Amino acid sequence: MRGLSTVAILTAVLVAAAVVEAQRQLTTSQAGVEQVNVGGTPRIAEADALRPVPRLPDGRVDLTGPWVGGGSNVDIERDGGLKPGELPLLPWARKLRDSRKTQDEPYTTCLPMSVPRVNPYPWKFAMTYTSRGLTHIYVLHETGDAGAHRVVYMDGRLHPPDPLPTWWGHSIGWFEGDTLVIDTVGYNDKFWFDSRGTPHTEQLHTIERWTRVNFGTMVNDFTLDDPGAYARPVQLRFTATHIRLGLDLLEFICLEDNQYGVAGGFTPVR
Amino acid sequence: MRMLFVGVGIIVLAAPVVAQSTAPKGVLGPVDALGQEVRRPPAPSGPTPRLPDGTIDLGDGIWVFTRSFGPDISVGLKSGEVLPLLPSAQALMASRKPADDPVNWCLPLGVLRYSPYPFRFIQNYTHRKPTHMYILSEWMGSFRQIFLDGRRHPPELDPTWFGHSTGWYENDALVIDTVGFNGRGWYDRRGTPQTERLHTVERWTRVNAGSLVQEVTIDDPGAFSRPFTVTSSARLSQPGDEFIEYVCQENNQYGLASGVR
Repeated sequence: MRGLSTVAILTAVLVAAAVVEAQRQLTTSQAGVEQVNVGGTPRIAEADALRPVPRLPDGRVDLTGPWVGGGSNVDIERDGGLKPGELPLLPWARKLRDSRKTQDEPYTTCLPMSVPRVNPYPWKFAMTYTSRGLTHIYVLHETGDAGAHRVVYMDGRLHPPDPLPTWWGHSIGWFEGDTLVIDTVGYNDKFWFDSRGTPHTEQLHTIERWTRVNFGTMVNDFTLDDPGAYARPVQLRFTATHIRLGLDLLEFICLEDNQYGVAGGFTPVR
Repeated sequence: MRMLFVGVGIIVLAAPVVAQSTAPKGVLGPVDALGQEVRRPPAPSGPTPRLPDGTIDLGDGIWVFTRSFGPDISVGLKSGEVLPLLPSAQALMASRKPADDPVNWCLPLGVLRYSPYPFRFIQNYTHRKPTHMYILSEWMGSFRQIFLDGRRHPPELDPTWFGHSTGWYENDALVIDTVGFNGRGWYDRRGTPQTERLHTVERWTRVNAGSLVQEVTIDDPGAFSRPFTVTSSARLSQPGDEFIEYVCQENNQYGLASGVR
């Protein structure tokens, strides 16, 4: 929960109303700003979590959620299950990561966090049924404008040969058994994988393999392939947890009186 | 679409985006202010598609308003009708400047101000049937949430830009009832105001495959002396059209290019 890690009491209190998750690793406070733990997103009760995977009327697995987690947040290397130093960053990329400062993080100015970042805000797969079947899956993040919506084309199309680089890239998806596979190219190089500043280039290609293992748990086996910044493709694993039943995403307009950056002591470098 | 709509920010302030009949014609059709040629084939016709369970399908494509509330919500009134603005609302409107328009600062369009950006309905199918409808706008990729699961509005609401929406079908119309607005949204560029007492009832009817009619009853005793109804219509964009990514807060030129500071 970004509010918890860095932001002032006022913001934390404001954020307290939102369905968000407590960050387990509190970072050092900014400029003496006190931190308040406001709790977190209530997770699904264990008995509910162990129930079987729900299915749609057509037999397909229901991946809707809402979920919390399932991606990177503070440090993609650690969040994805690697040991310190295992991420095969090319020397220039490692240098760039180590030189990045907290206040330069695009996310602090409400820019999209992109893939595979989830932060501790809830999100969901909106499986869009139409008269032509499941044509799109939208990924909706509670982070509102910073999460915006991400579209995954499920209609069998391929990537365009020369996609315009965008924050969310061009995503196509399909099912392999009960696993939703999402293949994405066409990213821009502007977002950070985590608040540590782990970089990538426009050559980034990601493959997500989402498998709901029981009612309350979904695994994201994530392939990160970016020859521009990494010596070899990397395999990471993230796990998402269903939030408490009956809860929904709340409205979050990051750009309205954004106190994250300001109250956190961040002034974006111009 | 984004390039077209956003790029012409200045023009958007003064005129609807769809090129006017007086605009010069290019080989492919009307030419807008930036010189692009806009080809607009007729909207698809034919019967309204349905989901396997018989429900009307609103989600098989993206929609663009043919008559939008964006410049002035009163265009949606019946001919001869005027907005029943309270004096306080009139005074507030008169004091508003373009620079005060939340849209210039990348804030939400709110519930009735989609256009000129395309929008689409997301029927979120789950194991418990369609429980949620989302209306997505190309504008900043924002989404609005409508509960279709039969719940009611909570007794006490945190005021929000999009409010708390419940929806159901009446025959083939999707009805959306919304309360809990924060009063900050503008209906249009003229600054027609909202208050936290706003209550809207929308009726969306897909009259055929290519056209959608939206009828909205606006009840806001904080701004208007009586409830009134506005009507608008949208056309289905060509099959295969998709949203383009639009991140307003990235190097926002909308406000700046429009001369708004």
